[in-house]
Amino acid sequence: MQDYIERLRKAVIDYDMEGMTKLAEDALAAGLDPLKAIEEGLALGIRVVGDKFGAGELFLPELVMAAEAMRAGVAVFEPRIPKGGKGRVAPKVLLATVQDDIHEIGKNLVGTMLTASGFQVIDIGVNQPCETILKKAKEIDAVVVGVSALMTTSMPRMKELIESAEGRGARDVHQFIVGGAPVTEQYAKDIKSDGTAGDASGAVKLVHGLVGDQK
Amino acid sequence: MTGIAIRRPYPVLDREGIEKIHAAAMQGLERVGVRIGTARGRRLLKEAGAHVDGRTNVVKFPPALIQECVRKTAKRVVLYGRDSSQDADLDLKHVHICNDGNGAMAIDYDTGERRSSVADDLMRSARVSNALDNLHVYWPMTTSMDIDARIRSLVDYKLSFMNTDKHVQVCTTVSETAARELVAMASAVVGGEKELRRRPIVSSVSTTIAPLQQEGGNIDAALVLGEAGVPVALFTMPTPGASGPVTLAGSLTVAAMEFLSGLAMCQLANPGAPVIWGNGIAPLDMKTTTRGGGGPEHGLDGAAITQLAHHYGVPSLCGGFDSTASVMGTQAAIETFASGMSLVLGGADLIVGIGLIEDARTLSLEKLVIDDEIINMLRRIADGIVVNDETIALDVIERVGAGGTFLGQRHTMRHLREEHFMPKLLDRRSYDVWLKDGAKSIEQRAHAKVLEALAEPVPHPLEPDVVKELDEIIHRAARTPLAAA
Ligand code: B12
Repeated sequence: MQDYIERLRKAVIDYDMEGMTKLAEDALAAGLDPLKAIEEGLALGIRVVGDKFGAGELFLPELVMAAEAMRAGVAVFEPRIPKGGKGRVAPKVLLATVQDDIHEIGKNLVGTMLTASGFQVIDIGVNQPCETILKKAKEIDAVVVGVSALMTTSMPRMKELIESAEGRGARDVHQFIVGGAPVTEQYAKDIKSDGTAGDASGAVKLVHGLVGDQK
Repeated sequence: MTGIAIRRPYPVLDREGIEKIHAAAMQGLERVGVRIGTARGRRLLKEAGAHVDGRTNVVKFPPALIQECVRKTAKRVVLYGRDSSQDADLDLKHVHICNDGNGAMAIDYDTGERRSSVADDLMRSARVSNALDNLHVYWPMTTSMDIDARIRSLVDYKLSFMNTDKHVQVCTTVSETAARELVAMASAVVGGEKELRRRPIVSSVSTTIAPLQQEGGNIDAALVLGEAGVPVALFTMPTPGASGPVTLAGSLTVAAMEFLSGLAMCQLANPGAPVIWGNGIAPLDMKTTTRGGGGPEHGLDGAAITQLAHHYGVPSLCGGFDSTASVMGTQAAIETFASGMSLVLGGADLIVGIGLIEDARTLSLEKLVIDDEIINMLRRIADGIVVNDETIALDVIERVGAGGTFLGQRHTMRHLREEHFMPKLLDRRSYDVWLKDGAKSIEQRAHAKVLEALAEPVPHPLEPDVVKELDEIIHRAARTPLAAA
């Protein structure tokens, strides 16, 4: 079993996107516990890749391919985790770009880096109304909600989001972080968010800081 | 007429390369298609014989349709100034320069502090722009963060018209309503929609979403603008390695597919509408995850887009003179030069990018002035070496002979000004002289020019009743929500 865990970890580090599905199925057939496969195999592998990227040793495409390999593995293992038992412990982060804004490159990078740091990232895409974001956050029980805005004209949506979370009692349920080129520390403070970061590795640090004790 | 005459553009692609990319784009349009986010656009394309997938909104284009639409396109785009001395005729033979726009931050010209941009920054940027040698078209350089978001871009247009007589190009028409508001404001300035159609003093940039998607609001706006005779730049910007192939030839092909699909909608809605091909293909730095707008690739692929655009008979609008540096300084200058050089040499019809740092984010008025000097140098390189009997000057060489001097020859003065680049901002004085004169850095000298420029009056200021009319439009807009309008 340990051998399979080792191989899964390595398959993520070597971004073996093509071979992952078969390896995962073989591991299940051999009786590997799916939860253990994710947490000790895949997640540890992606952590190594994430650290190397953070240290400037890897290029972004390598990180993205490793995350892709991880995703392929999770897709096989996750449905096989027994219901009702202990689920994945990785905290959930919900990501979206606010309404009227379709910029997504930065948000996607934040998602990739968070995945690579062991978080469960649920990305609902661009141009998302506050309503949808809050509904989804509740549905998946997100620990952190991260929103992106790249335009000064769409930035006010972030304030709107936090205000409407307050209005419906969701402000203390999730942590709200904001980002995108026009967002400053001051703005993040002014709208009473839980913080911002200027780039994807900063976003990882931020989220780590916010959920520190939960992980 | 404005612009920098280009004797002989320096080609980045050879004939075969142009043909190959064109052929691949046509095949891609037929086989892969482009997702079209506007119902109006899809309808137009379907009626014209394209195949529309009702579920995915992906449209596939028969080559004949694209060819016909290319034929329909206006062959000459002129970006008219509020004053005719400022007209920029994109005749495919001149390079024009435009500043970068919409920065949300500014370096305060007085305190040096980096902060959110305010309306005053926009006004100052226009006034400094008026003083530059090589600034032909004006983009509202910053967005006025001190103005309510609903009317912010309209206030930015008004301040632009009030502070410069150059053509104003914007990139904030992201819906039909926003497009109509721009048309209303520009019409108020020139005295009606008919006059605007004759001399459009504004144009607009609509971006596509790489890879292979046309955003609904942007295209709907482009069609409204086309109807009013306002030129539209379809700005394609796949990020090599992320939203386009890492190979520049591949990203050029994606850009060509996006441009041609947008052009088709523009021509089907408004045959003969003026269209420009915009390029913003800049790499994503694969280690820091920032955009490398100041990379050498940005200018290189813009020069290639210019060749492809000219192949279709349309002018290009290329991002360049950019920098990702956090402060004005050596890195910013290097990046600006590297991303701008290929574009000037390649004869790009309009180059957008001077004056902002942090990749199109932060205004530096000093950078505007420094970039102007960079362009003066590039002009000299682009001008090349003219070879004829007069310039070879064998007769002068004979007269001076071995060991003589050319300093006292009339021939020297006759050609000095066009043969030598004449620095306006660079300091070539010797160390001692420079030291005695206060040991000023280029940024300090640029700052002095900024102050000079700000003291100058605005050329051709708007009449007070025009300003009043603009204010009324803005007030009306403030009362209508954008979504409902
Ligand atoms: C690429 C780009 C586009 C692409 C987007 C492609 C895509 N699929 O995402 C396209 C071409 C589609 C596009 C369209 C438009 N764009 Co645009 N675009 C850009 C550009 C050049 C780069 C953005 C980018 O991807 N940067 C690279 C990424 C990696 O950086 P990032 O997004 O900042 O993200 C990092 C951090 O901010 C942070 N972060 C991001 N999100 C989050 C979230 C959280 C929670 C945290 C913690 C951190 C975080 O981490 C990220 C990774 O390091 C910027 C200029 C700029 N330099 O920002 C203009 C820019 C944002 N665009 C602009 C404009 C005007 C538009 C258009 C309106 C233009 C038009 N008329 O068509 C449309 C918008 C349409 C709409 N309704 O949204 C303006 C905005 C002006 C303003 N001041 O508001 C800018 C600033 C350019 C300019 N100066 O004019 N654009």
